[in-house]
Amino acid sequence: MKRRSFLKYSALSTAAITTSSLGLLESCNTNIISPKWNGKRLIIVKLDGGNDSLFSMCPTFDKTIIHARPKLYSAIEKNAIEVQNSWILNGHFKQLHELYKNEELLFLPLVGYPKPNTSHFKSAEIWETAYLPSESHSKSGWIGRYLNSKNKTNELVRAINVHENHTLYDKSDNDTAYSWINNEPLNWYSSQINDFLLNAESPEIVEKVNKQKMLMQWLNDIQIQENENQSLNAQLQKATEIILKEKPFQIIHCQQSGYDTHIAELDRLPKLYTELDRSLFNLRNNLSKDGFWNNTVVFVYSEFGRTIDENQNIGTDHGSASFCMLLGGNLKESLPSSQNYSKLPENILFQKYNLLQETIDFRDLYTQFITYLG
Amino acid sequence: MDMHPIVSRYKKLEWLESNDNIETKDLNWLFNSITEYKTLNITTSSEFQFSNDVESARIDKIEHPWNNYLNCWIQEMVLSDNPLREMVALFWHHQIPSQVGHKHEHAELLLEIYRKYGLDSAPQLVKAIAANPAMLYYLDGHWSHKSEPNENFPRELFEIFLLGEGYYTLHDVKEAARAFTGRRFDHEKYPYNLYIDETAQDQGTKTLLGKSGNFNGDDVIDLAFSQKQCAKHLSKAIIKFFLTDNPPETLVSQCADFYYENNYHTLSLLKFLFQHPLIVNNSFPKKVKTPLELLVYFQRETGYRTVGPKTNNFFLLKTGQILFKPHNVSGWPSGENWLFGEQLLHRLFLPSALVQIANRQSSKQSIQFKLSSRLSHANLRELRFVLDGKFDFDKFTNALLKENIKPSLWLLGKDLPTQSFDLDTLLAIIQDPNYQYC
Repeated sequence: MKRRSFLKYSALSTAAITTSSLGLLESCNTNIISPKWNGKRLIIVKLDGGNDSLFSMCPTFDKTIIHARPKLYSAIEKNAIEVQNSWILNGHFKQLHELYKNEELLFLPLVGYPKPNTSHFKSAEIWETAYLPSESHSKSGWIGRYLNSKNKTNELVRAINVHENHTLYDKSDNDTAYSWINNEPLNWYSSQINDFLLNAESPEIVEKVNKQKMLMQWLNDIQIQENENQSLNAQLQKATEIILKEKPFQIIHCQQSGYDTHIAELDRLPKLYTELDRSLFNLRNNLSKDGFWNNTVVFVYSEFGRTIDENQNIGTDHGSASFCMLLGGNLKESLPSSQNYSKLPENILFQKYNLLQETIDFRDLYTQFITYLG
Repeated sequence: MDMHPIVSRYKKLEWLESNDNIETKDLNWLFNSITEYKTLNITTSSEFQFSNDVESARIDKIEHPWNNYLNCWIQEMVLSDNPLREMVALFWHHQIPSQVGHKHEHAELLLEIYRKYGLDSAPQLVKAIAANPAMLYYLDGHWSHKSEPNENFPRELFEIFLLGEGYYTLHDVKEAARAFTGRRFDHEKYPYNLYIDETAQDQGTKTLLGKSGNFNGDDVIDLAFSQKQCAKHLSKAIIKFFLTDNPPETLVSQCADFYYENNYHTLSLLKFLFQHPLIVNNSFPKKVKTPLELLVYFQRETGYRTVGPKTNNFFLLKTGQILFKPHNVSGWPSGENWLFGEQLLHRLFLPSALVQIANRQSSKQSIQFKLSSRLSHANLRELRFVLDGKFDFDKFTNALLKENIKPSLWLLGKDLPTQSFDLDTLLAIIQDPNYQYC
């Protein structure tokens, strides 16, 4: 801060203390109407921690799998839903199965990449950057790169993160990342933010604060249920409102945590699956009313699947090949090539160390998303 | 861009000069005496309702014993004449973190390991952590059996804690996992000592990192430390934590050589580092403060003090760093990643909001503050923030002036340093973007 601006700063803050601050307050809280945008959207849901693919969906024809996880297999078999090709779906996905029958959902049981990495951190990075470690050490996210290439023509359309964990998706040379949980800071520090923007002389931080302030003003009319702010259902409700109110965010990412089931998988996964089932079904119902569902694709994935064998604690360890889902009102038109996946694999291959071999490379999916988003 | 004086960097040198044997204070003692505030040195202006805070702290203690314990740790960082031991413990918590869930007794033991061995031998520290129930639980070591060795801990030990990616193979991880089998701890009896279940332990020959033998877990840790890369990995982490987000390669390799030759004695490394010509000349890009550093240095530098654990918790929650709950096993983000989203707004404005609350609480006159009513009335009603009457503003001024950039010119709007700060100046400093760096 230069001397001149410091004096200005000082004078201003004194004035704000001695006179009423109402003026500043109001100017900050005025709704700046966000630009409206309506187009094809993508919602990404990450099942954080590594979901056990074979507990979501399991082939009944592979004896190796049945023998390696007797307790887990009998649990999924007990209330299983028969899908096709001798694949069974976990019974907790009842409503999602309805969507599947309506052709609004595709199950992709084994999605991954060559040479699976079983560190949460590394594998998440691979999915978020879409670079294999052998290809690039770049930490830019695939969404960031996509938006950068596109935003030359359209400044407004962005991606937004509605959960509190930091991800690499949106990271790029230009800062395309937005993160939003609620409007608390704007409500609390309104006049201070205004002072700051007028006086601080640090362009980078000023730009960040300005951006965050603008974002909060755009999203000021979105209602949040405070007590379950971080649940998947709450995140998807935010996503719903963003879409229904035609906010300018093309890609929305959400996250459901708790999938790192080294122990007590039978207690933990059914609860998570029930929430996932309910939240996605709600999202679909809320968006269907006004026809937005046809213009939406939801992609559900996990950073990796888990081991085929169950361990002594009725859990599983880090593995490969994630269970993914694609949802949307009009999948056949949105993602025409995805119909190739509608027939489930007829045999299961294993890699070294008893890891599942993927049948779909996740980057094939990303390519389809980019074609779809335009 | 004008730089904010790097007060905390200056103080780090001061910590080293003050003594060599930095004692480990008993946090339990602090914990027990906290309701009386004998150790906190807090004096308040006469109007401030002190008794309410004592009461509030009592309630905090009943509700959250673990939070209160962590609060004692933070108080020690704030109030100690020499917080080096605590800050180094914090470094190890960043480097080898653990999520503890509800097992607070385990975390308490882990924190004592960080504090006890932090300044001493790093291999000893890592061995103690590897035998601690918090880490055994977190990375699934407590059930690892020779029939199915668990790779979680050994992988992170190599990848994140000690060596870094590319300096070990999947085979090394598998062999190391065998060496860590059979580690169990006594669930019943505090302090949950480690024992080896020999029926679960793999006693065969393992081959990893170029050596073969009947290694156990501690041997694997020694093997990792015998790699030069380990000294490099840890030195880089230490420089990043204490000094700069972009450590120069030459400094890293000099520190690595020194650390390796001195058998990973961390205090020696810090002495070498803090007195290194490059550091003394202050010729570094800045480092973004972690939320805890922001909270601690802010209190050390301004004389304002949080009272009771709620305020500290609130601050850390809003700025995104809950101790013993890192986002993932690689710990917290570093550098510019902290200056992001809503957390950035809380970091920039919460400190000055707290100062204003302290001033309102200590004054009978209701001053029209810049805070919005929602902050001052509803959400922060329970926060306690007071000015330590013994705090010497001159010391703060002098600390600023000792830096090579003359801050007085912009800080005080005058050409000559003055003896005291006023509230506006203080608010201007802590809201300045440069205050986010140290």
